[in-house]
This record gives sequence, C-alpha cells and structure tokens, in this order.
Amino acid sequence: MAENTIIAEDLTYHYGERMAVDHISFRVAQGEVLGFLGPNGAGKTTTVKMLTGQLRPKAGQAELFGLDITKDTKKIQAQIGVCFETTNLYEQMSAEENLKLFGRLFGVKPLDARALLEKVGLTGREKERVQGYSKGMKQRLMVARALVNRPRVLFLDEPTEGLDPVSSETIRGIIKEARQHGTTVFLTTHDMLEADKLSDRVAFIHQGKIVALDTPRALKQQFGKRALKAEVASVGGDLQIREIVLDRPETAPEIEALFRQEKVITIHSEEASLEDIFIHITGQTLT
Amino acid sequence: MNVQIIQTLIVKELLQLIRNPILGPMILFSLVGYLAVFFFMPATLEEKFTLGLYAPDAPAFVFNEFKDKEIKIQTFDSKETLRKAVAKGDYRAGVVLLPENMQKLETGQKTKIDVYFPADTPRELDHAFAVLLTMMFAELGDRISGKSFNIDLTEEILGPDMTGKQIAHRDRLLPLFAVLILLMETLALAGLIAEEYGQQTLQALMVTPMNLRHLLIGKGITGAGLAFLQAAVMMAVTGGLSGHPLLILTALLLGALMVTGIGFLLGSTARDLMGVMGWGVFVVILLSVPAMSVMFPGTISGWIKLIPSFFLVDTVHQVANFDAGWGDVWQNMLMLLLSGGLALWLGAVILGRKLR
Repeated sequence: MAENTIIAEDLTYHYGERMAVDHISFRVAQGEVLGFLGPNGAGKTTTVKMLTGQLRPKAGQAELFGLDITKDTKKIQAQIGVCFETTNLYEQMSAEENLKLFGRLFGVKPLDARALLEKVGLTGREKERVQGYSKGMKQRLMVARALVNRPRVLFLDEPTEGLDPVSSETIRGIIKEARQHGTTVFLTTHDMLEADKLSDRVAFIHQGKIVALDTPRALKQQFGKRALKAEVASVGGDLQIREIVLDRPETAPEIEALFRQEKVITIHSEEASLEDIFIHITGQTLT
Repeated sequence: MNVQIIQTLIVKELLQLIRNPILGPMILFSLVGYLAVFFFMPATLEEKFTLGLYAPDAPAFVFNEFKDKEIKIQTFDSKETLRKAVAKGDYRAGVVLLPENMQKLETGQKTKIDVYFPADTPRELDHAFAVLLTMMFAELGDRISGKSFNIDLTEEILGPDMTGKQIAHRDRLLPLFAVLILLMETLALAGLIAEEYGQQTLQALMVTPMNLRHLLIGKGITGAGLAFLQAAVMMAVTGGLSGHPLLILTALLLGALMVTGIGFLLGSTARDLMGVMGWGVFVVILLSVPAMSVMFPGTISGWIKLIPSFFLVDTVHQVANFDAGWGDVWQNMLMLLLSGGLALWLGAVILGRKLR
C-alpha cells in the first residue's frame, strides 16, 4: 500500500455566507493521479488553493507529506508544483527567463530550462517573450513552470481547458510521465474524458461536497448501465440502432434473436461515461 | 531571510520595469526630460518688481503712482507683517510710508523712508529700485507742490545677506524636478504592484518558498533604489551635489523611502495600471505643491508644511541653492526621516494586507 501523500480531513471553506467547500475528506496515495471533477463553481479551485497554502481552511485540516498545510506552508510549497487555471506568466519575459526566475526562487541549481521547454514542446521559442505565445503555448509553459522544482505533488487546475489537441496531448503526456516517476498528481477538470483516461481515481465534487470517490471502473460498475449497441439494416436499407442491456436474464435470448432476425451491420459494447454517472448522481450536467 | 530570493526578485522587478511598454519609457523620460527642461531654461535672472506696502492714511495718488510704473503692489496692515512677507521672499521689496512721512513730504521737509529687501535679491536690483523710488517721489512732489519731495531712503536687507547668491528660475525648479523624478518611480513601482496583482503572477510567486516579506523587501529596494539613483544622477548633472553632496544624497534617500511607501499605498489601492495612473496624478500634484513655494514665493500658504514632500523640497532648495548645511536643515531632515519611515511602514502594512 503506497503512502498517502495528501490527507484532507473535513476541509471547509466559505466566502462570506457562500459555502465553497463543505467538509470534504479524502486521501491521495503517492504516485496516484486523482481526478477532481465537477462543474464550474463546485469548489475545485478552492480545494486546490487550500491544499497549496493559498487559502487557510475555515475548518478541517490537510496534510501533505505528513506536514500541516497551515503550519508548514512554505516547507510544503517548496515540494509542490502548481499549474493555475488562469494564465499568470510574466508576459514581458521569455519562456526561459520565466523558468529560471522560478528555478531561483525554489533554489534549484542548476536548472535545465531547455530540457523542460523541450518536454513541453517549446524548443526554438525559448527566447521569445511570452506575450507573443498562443494560449496553448502559454499553458504548456505553465506546466513546465510547475515542474521546475521536481515536485512531489503536481497540482493541475484545468490544464487543458480550451486548448488545441496538440497542446492537450502534450500536457497529458507530461501527467503520465510524472505519474511514472512517482509524482502524485491532483488534477482538477470538468473534462470527464480526460479524467477517465488519466486518473487512477476520480472524485466528483458537487456544491462543495464530494459525492463520489473511486476508480473510474468501479464508478461505472456501480452507477453505470452496461449495454450492447448494434446497427442493423432495415428493410428499406436505412440503419437503425438496437440496444440490449446486459446483466439481465433476458439478455442472452435478446442477443440470439437480434442475430437471427436482423441483419447486423456493427455491434459494440457500451458503458456509461463519467459524465453519465455524474448526471446520475447529482442530477446535473457538468457545464 | 533568504538573500537569494530577494536578489532574484530585484532582478525580476528591474526586468519587468525596463520591458514594460508604459513604465519603462516613462522612467527614462522623467530623467532625460527634466534634465532637458532644466538646461533649456535660462541660467540668468529676469524679474519684475512686486512690492509690499505699509502705508496707512496714504492718499490714493501714491498707489496710482506705483501702478503707473507697472509695479505690482500689495498693502499690509502692519510693519511687522510686511517685514515677514519680504523676508520670506514673497516680494521684491517692501516700503513703509507712515503718516508722519506723508506730513513731512507735503510740507517739504526731509523724511526717512524705510525700504526692505529680501536676502536673495540681487544688489543691482536693490539699487535700481531705490533709484526708481527716489524718482517716483520726485514726480509726486512736482505734481503736488511743484517741487521734489526730499526723501532719504533707508535700505534694509532682511535675513542673511545673500547678495551675489541670487538664483535663476531653473535652479528654483531643481527641487520640483527632484520630487517629480522620485514620484515617477513611485508610479512605476505602484504600476508593477498593480500588474502583479491584476495578472495574478503574485499567486504563482506565493506558492514558492518566497514569502510576503521577501516580496515587500524586493519591491522596496528596487523602488527606493531606482528613485534614489535617478534623483542623484539628476542632481549630479545639474550641479546640485557640488556644495554638500552627502546632505543632498541623504535627503534624496529619505525622500526615496518616503515615495516608496507612497508607491506601496498606491499599488494597494489600484487593480491595474490605469488605476495607478488615476490615483497617481492626484498624488503627483499634491506632492508637487510644496515645490511651488520655491518656484513662486508668496503664492502658497504655510499649510504646505503638512505635505511631507515639503521637507525634501525645502532641504534641496536650501542646500543646493543657498549652501545651507546640516545645522540649517536638521529639522527638515528629521521630519523627512519621520514622514518617510511612516509612509514606508504604512504602505508595507496596507499592501501586505491586500496581498495576503
């Protein structure tokens, strides 16, 4: 059993009267990727801010590497990397200067900024000022910046939102690589497909509360509907869809009847998406 | 305290400032521009008379005579208030015409008329004015009794005799330039703080081992250092450091600390560069007002001493233009130290609260 890198107990935060994070508890093991999923305003970013020492919890507590986030904030911050939801780079500086600045603040000697930039696909543009970068390039640079201190925990807040496929894929590759090297990744997103692909476990957060927390597979088994979907040719030649729900006594006869009575063009199994499960649990969509 | 972090922040601040498309040119222009204005202004003095007059019971024709000679006059209620105003340098000269003077003039008797000059009036001007006054009374006598009035002018220079030390307009502008240079840095510092906050780069900094104290020290050293350096360069180029360089440099350093505190306050009130500029214009005008008292003596009341920049302006003026020493301006320096310290402390506390 891997050691828990993040332990949150009863973590709570409210902005005035509005409850943002409502007594949530969870643990994240070393080297695990936890997808923290929820719609905008669900409390994802507030949770990240508490875990990274930017906000002091109103109640509850959180530990990273066994250190209390409210007491050992700077010790913890020296060992984590944070990629923010909003682009917050020094636009008048180059990519290399941005990385070197943060490298010096973290006391990293020597910092191989070029290697980091190569990792995020910015080789050849390292001397250009960031203000001329596209959104995808800036986001990739933000991820590189979060890696300068070789963090033990990487917090990524909506890292691929609104990005082109190439930039998104680059960032997904970095998350996978970080995981392989034993880095714990706390990934907040409302992109369920991305979370499904990358996360070892996912937590659904809704109105400040964690409403489900498990592996994507377990959640699908618990809440999802397993089915077969077949495309069949009708008498007139049009394609029609037939759906057979699995795990019932009548499933086998229905499949047999399908092949006997109809001309099956394609057939595939279908399982519920994380989005379906989220809707099933909360009654709301992610957007 | 991590020195490496502070060094890194100072380098970052300088880089940001130099590369900022608004603040960078503004800083450069403030030094080059003010120096250009200084050297384009004439180095010699050319002034008209403004006259203070204490003349109870004087007939209207006396006043009209001054006006005919295009001398601007201001009457006073007492001899003492006239003396004070002239000593302050508010008037080029002060004339006392007592009732007994008028009686003697009208009866053709010789009378003594007191004339006061401020300490920094050129001697040539004193003489010219004395001659002019004598001629005026001769004309007056002709008009009234057909013969010249018999007067004997008693000239008195009020305050230390600064004969030969009169200053040109551009030298009077020097304290204003010193304040403006410092204030440009204030705006730049406040602009950087507002941008850091508005663009959320501060968030990124705050999740590193850097803490708020590092940030305030880094920004403070950059702001005060640049302000001091620019003001010192300007004073050196204009010759302002020739008399008491250590005294002037100390005053500028204290002034730089004061404006850094004001920069922190400005930065904590605004969310972006435009907000800084909006508040900044108000602050620049307010802190420039004391310099007007040097440029246009007599146009500003005593309340300007409530504006902390007065102590800097007055010190620079006294030291650079009148060769004043530590003993002459120690009160100004003390007030500058106190107001600078207070501004810096207040600015750091308020900005710290906002950033936290």
